[in-house]
Amino acid sequence: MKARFSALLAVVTLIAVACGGTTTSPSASSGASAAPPSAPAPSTAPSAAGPTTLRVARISDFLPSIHPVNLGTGNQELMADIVFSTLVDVDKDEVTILPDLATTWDVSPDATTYTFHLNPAAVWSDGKPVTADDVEWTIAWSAQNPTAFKQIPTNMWFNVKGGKEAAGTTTIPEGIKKIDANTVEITLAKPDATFLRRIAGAVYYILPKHKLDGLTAAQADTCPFCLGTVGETIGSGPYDFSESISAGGATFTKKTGYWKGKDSQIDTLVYKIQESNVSVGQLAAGELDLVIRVPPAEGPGLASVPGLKQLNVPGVGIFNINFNNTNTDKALRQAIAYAINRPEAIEKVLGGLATINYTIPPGFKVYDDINKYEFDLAKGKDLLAQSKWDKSKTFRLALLAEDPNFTVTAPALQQYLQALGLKVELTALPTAPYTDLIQKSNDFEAFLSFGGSEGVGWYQSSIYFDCAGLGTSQLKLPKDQCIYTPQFEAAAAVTGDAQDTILHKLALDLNDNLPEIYLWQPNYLHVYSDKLGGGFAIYPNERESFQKILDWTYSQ
Amino acid sequence: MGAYILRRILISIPVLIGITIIGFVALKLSPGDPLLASVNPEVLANLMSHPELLEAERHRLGFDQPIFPNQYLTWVGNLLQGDLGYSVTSHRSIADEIGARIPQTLLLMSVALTMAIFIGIPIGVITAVRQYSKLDYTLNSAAIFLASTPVFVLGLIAIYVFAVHLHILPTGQMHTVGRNDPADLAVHLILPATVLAIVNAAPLVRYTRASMLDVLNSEYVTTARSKGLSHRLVIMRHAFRNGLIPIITIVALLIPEAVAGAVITEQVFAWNGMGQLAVKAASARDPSLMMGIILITGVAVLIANIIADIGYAVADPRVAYDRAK
Amino acid sequence: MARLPVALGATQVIGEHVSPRRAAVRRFLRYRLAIVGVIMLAIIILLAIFAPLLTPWPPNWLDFDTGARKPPSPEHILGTDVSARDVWSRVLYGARTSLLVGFGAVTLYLVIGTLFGLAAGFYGRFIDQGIMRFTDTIMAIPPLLLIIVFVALVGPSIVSVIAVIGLLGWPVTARLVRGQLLVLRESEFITAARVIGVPDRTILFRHMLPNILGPLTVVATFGVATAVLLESSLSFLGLGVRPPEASWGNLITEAISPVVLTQMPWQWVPAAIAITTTVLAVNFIGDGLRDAIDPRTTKGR
Repeated sequence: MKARFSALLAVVTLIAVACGGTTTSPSASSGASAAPPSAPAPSTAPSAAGPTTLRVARISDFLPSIHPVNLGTGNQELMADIVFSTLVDVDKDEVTILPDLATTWDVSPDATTYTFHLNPAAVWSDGKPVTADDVEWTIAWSAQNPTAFKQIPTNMWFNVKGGKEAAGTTTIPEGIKKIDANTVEITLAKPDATFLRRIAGAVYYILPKHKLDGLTAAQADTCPFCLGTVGETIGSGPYDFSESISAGGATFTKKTGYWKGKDSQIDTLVYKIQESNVSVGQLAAGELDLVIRVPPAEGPGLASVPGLKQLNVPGVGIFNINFNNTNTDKALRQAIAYAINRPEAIEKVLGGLATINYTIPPGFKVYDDINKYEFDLAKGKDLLAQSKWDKSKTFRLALLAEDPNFTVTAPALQQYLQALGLKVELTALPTAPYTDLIQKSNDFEAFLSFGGSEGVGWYQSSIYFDCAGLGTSQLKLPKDQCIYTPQFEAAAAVTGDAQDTILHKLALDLNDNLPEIYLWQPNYLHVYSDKLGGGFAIYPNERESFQKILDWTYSQ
Repeated sequence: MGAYILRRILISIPVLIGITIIGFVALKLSPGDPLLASVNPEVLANLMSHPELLEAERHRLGFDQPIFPNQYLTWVGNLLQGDLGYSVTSHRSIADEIGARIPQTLLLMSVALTMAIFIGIPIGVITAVRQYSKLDYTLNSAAIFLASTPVFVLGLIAIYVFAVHLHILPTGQMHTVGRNDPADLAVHLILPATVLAIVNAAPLVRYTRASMLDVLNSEYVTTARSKGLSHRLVIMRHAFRNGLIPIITIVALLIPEAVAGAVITEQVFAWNGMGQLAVKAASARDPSLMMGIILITGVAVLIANIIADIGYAVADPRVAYDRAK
Repeated sequence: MARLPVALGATQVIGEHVSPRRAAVRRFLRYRLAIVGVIMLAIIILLAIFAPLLTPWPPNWLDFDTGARKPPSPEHILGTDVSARDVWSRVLYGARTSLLVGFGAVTLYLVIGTLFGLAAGFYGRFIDQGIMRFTDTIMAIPPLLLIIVFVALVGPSIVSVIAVIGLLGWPVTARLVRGQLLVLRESEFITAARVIGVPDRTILFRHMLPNILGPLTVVATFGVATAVLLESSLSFLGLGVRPPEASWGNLITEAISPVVLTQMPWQWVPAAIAITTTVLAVNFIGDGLRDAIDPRTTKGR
């Protein structure tokens, strides 16, 4: 039996090599389901020359679909990382800009005009070259069809000069200029020194004009290209779909003779989107090589599984309290900030697996003159007495019922606020009404929120405090009362000192006014097989992690 | 017989219309704005800055027309053309979404129901034949006990024992990652199918036992016995056949329960079927998806009942005659 | 319609012909189990009512001194849960939720089902046809599916779970009441009452209803068992009573996490035992009641 199996394996391997590695490796997973976790992969016969399969899972309840023109979630972005290319990439330090489609770029001194020189070798999966036309089409289409973006928007493309005006029209924004087939000049409506870093995000990939020209915003929901289909969804990244996306994930096969001059060392990538209990079981059984965002509490249980490594890092998502500013005043919010014993809650409830925040967005420097609101119940009570809050009223705090980040910690917050003297009522809501309530938040004094990517850098906060875009806490404030325009000024400031002065002022303002209280950043736990090596890394904002997949190695 | 079948089918038409109305009510009751069914802060930020885009989208989906009869009739018209609409969360057509899940659920349910029949009916017969024996009490108590335990507890215990502790079966899903072969599928099917089978076998044991006891105590069995036929022959030839006829109906009536069991079993074992889809649809409040699932399972159960009734009438022609009166 | 009266819990009312002596033995055994059931249920109800006296910990109180996920200790006899709350206290308070859902939902559907059943059985003709097709429709859709959809639509909470189970569970009762009524309508004493001119309403509520209370009690008992199981299933699916509210289903659902399932049994096993015990007790009572009420087994009395 064993001999026959090996022979079969050899044949399959030969075919795989002959076909350019398009066959899914049987060696990578055979019998793994029956293998005990103490010996995770004894039956995965090492065959150095055989094709390699990397099996990845991401745990999330977010949409299990790819939507190249209407990208939504980290799930999709990880997949998009390997199928598409962006103009530039970012290194795992989240700061250094690396080339992708553009080999070099020039920035005008005022951070307004960016010129990208595309790699002339770059081609789409069907062999057609990637040109300035594709860049122009992608940016123009995004600006013209903002309705297509019901998920994460491509704000930076709207910020191109003439971008906002192009909405609903077929005009190409004046800020995009094709210099020649491989050179594009982009002029922004306002100076922005963070532009390159932000378009390195997986949302800002360049799409093939010849496949998508004429697409309407409505079709963006249903076109075969948009749904992640084998043969239809093509890009200029190192992988192609080899199994169309379905509710459970998708499969990708590497391109041979990739235009960057180097092929990926991982032939096949199986990408699963599934619930955490399933992933943890499969990790223990040796069925998976990488699971992104395992619940941190599962870490100790997996520690005994040989061949697995754990990366337990502070996440970029923040757990915070958002307030309804028409129902609360500054003194009340400050009282609440003093009443919550963050170190105790992290230690006793979260098992120490979170990093404390000092009320300002974590992408900001913790300036010396920032009030850290360290736990002080007496001070909290004083402030509560000074506030306009009527203590006989119920303080209504809403939370999202489906996410353990909310359900586990909400009772702790309730207890702290009750000690402060507030009559707190918790209301757990499912996702849809929760989103509704953010629109009609007069029903609640405050609601809990988790997520966002402020942890990556201060410039990411602009989406939360930008008055045009709106921060959730700013909901009830008319645009002219918006106090966070400094964010724009900071982005426009080219020198670090000028930026810092503006950010410092902004941090102090946020710190005093507390439109939302940043409590802590729960850890993300990523678990991976020690077979992964080379340039393998999970970025702090894991969305961009797969951008460097060409450097990864996988030893069988 | 023909008249009976025709009558049976005609009776189902108002029920069918009723099912479409329930599906439509579910569709229209969705309180949350289906366009907003995501709490991602970055998404919200974009939506809030483009309220006019939300309106345009709402108009495109016809959410701004009178509900009855306009929207209902348009909707029924679309249904008749096989258009069940689109999922607001995945953007795929409902027919595709559900169609992709039906085979998995059918596989799980058919294997589980077959197992349940092969476990439940023999045990039911044995307990009836050996009424009041120790075996009867043991098996009967086991059936009551299993019927009193939530399906998901059975499932979790099964995972704990067979997957986590003994490592002989996978914890869930349909395939080992990266594999696609039937043998792998069969291994993954064992736990969920067994749990679902046990859950359905428990009531079947009690039905069969009661039905068999009815027959065993009836006059013609007594007559057969008094004619000197062997105990075994009486059971096999007379009691068994007559006792099983009502069980045809009972198996059909178990189907809605089996679907319910499948919803939970699929969730416990991450089985990629309709049940899991239903729970996802409900959690996300995806209106067209919830409606589609109600509609399709309702129609499936209706058809199963018609087939069972006809089968019953074929097996026992007195039924058709009685009911045609 | 070729339908048998099947309760949500798929429990069938089928009589069994046995010899009087054996029947007596069996009834005795059954009653003994039923008595055991009554005692078990009484204990659970008492535990629920006197919950505050039986534990010093409020169900939502976080014991920061002990911390989360700690195993049983003298202070916390069943340990603490993911948020550092006392598990024993949550099991006790969870009993309140589960029993409230069980009895609340059944009361609601008994009332609705009885009214519809009475209307259908008494007036017959179009009303009967209409109501029966309506029950067919609801019964054609798997109950759990219908319930998860409507609970999701109205927003999960104790009240909505009770309301949805109650509003969707009545067809079984309606059919039972109607069936019994059709038999009664032909009976001599009703005919006699009609002949002497007793008004409809009096016949319906004074003479007919008392005669069907027996079978209704049986349906109600099994209904409670089913509703308790349904509540736990809904919580497991994330569509039941919302956390942080304690319910048995919510407690068991923690076991979805592999680490809780395998290494922290104190967090979920007690609630699992509580549910099984309650449902078992109610089923024992139901079986006993059914045998006591079924005319075919009580003929000799």
